[in-house]
Amino acid sequence: MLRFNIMKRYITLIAAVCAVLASCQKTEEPKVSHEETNPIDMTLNVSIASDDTKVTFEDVDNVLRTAWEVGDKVSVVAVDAGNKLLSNDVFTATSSGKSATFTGTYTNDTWANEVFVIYPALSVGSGTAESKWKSESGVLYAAYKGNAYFEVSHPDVSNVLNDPSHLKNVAVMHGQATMSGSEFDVTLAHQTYVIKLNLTFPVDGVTPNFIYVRGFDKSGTSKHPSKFGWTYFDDFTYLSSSTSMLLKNYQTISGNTATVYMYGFAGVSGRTYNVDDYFQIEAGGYVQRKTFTKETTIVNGKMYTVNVEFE
Amino acid sequence: MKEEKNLYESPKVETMEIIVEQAVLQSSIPDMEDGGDLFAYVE
Repeated sequence: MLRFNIMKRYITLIAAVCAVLASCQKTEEPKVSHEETNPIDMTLNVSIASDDTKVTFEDVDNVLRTAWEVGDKVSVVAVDAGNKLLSNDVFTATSSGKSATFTGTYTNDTWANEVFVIYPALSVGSGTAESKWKSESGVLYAAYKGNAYFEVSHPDVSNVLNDPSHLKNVAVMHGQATMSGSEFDVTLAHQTYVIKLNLTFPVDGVTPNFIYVRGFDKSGTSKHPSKFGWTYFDDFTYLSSSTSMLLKNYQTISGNTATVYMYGFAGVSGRTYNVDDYFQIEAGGYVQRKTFTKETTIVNGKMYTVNVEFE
Repeated sequence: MKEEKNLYESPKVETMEIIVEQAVLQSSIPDMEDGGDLFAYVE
């Protein structure tokens, strides 16, 4: 277990600031002037982040090359021994590359059993039961202090032809941080897998507004439930989803081929398909099945290629 | 006689510097490996 900085001094100073600010709200002018009553000088270190850069995904020879960009945001979350959320602080990348430095303020002021880093950052909301934290894309949501788990969804994405960049909003990553002085170190693990669909249509100029990939067992029963579920902050074991994936797309294909990148959560043990189970791929009114001829397990952190030629 | 407190007296606050601790996070990110063609053996 790790013990993390106690920041009671910080809390005390903030309380002092609040007290002074409250006093300034009086409408009456003070009858007694004190030269000692000065504004409080504050030193705040603020990183300037660009809003238009994100984690990059680049498909190079069927490997998704990932890298941080300046301005990327992750959540640093502290949990207690019961795995209940103590704090959620957004850290911002100040460098780019495979490894990057993020800066932020760790606000947890009590004992933390463990600290984890989650991408995408839970950057929206205030962390109360009334205003729960969520990621901007909505792929992660319903996180709040005192709770041990949060929810995972499958937000709509659009305009996805031949471009894996939308994965930056939904490719969930997670890792446990270690602390040394005022620094955290973490290596994140992918919690998603990707299906790279190479689509070929019998005609040019199709606009496949909705693109589905669904998994079925050999009897035609949906292989997995459709709900994307929930996960603990410390343990993503239970985070696995249906193989029903949906992308929205409003682009017309130039020619008759296109590539799209779908994603899902395979859980720790992966998603296993047995012989005669099958994928059903639907796009632009076309449907095709692809049947497994040997047992196959899909795991997180990999991108699988599926070539589909509609007839 | 009890002295009345001056309700309008400003609080006496010393000038201070607030230092917000700035933790640094070093984070690395993995590639997504090539999982191969799921249905290559039936193509």
